[in-house]
Amino acid sequence: MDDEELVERVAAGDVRAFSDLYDRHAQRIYAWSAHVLGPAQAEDAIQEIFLRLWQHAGQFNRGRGTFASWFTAVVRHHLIHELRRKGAQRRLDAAYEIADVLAALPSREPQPDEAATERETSAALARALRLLPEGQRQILVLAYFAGMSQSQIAEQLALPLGTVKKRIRLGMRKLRAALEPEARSLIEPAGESIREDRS
Amino acid sequence: MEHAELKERLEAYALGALEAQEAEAVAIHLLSCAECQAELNTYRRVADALPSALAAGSPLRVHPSLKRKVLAGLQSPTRTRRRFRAALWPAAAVLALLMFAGSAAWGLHTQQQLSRDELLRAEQLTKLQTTLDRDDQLRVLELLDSNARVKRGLKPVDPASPTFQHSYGKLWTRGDGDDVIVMVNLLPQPPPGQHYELIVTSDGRKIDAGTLKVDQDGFAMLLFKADRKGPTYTRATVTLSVTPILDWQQGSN
Repeated sequence: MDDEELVERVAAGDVRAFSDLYDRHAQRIYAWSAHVLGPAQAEDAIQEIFLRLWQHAGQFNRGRGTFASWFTAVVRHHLIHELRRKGAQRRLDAAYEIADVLAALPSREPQPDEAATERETSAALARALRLLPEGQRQILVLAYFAGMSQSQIAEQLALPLGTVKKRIRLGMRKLRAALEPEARSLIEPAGESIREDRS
Repeated sequence: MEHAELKERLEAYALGALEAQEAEAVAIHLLSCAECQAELNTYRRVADALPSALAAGSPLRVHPSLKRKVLAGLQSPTRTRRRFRAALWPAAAVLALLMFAGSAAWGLHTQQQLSRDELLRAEQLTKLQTTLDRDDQLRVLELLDSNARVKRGLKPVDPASPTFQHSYGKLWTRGDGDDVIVMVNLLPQPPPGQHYELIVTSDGRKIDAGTLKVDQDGFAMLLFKADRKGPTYTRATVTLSVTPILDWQQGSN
């Protein structure tokens, strides 16, 4: 049963379906929460986020996209809001910690229930993240995980705004290429087309 | 801004890294540009994949006992829900704000950062499209896209109010037309028997523009016709049973 079917059952009060969704997504959400808020607060965040899912599953509309995309948006809003309450320094610390993890992504062991295309996509994305120039990776993380705008990033890193914009464009385009099989050759062999952005 | 210029912003838009005004311009452009919508979807996939990549590389593992706590929370909904609501009210406010941010323009300085998430913005755009009929959608889009549009921000009358301190609204008019739209956000449902009204003041005369029906996200939108093209309001107020809640006065912004 796919996520979208499960969330529809959750909306009808099906605890078993909720349990299945938890099993599928808890680790991803927990790792994200723990790096952003710290392990102690991450447990509270998980409880709050999944309780919100239980209470508002009916708001999901499969016509507007996948459950994963919808739920990711819900989680991101929660975590960024919590992170902002912790102050600027924590935002930066969290972002740098996450950037370090992404820079050292291992070659993943395939999961038993993972389709071949999914495995290839994940591996390609991990490789692309590893190979991104540090400056690009850092800026993407500050934007996505720390919720900072381009101008805030430019100010924080003492970079021209144009450089930040350019690095976001380049970084996202490289990652997109990793997710698109037909464009994957652009980033393979590894590193040849992902050169350090010196702007 | 032109198509090519806006297209260059899609990567940052997908990451939620644009400033509020830039995001507004992109959001409006997306409503009528299938090419950019398709392009944006590819960048959404990238953004959505980032948390999974982090989890793949993280040594942090969720403890099995946490699932029991989560499930226990479902089985004692009264107690947990009260705690949840208290704890999550700000987060719910953020969500609602973001949804509001997607539909049009939202420049309150203190909330600019909150208006940058693209995913819910896209959801809100859909909401705009499903809330209004086709003719009204066109009226709203033409107003928001008009070079002659004028925007006013409505702020809480009592900034310290625990109920309304996060609420806000926007009112748009256009100098070359008579359509007026107001959107408000982060409003709680009115008590039974009460309702929110929009009162605008023109030429010293107060006009009841209509009732604002708040949805489950705390969002409400009202589209109405002014009595002339290019209405010149001096004040706009959202009231709850005649008590002013949100207000804008000429010269305040």
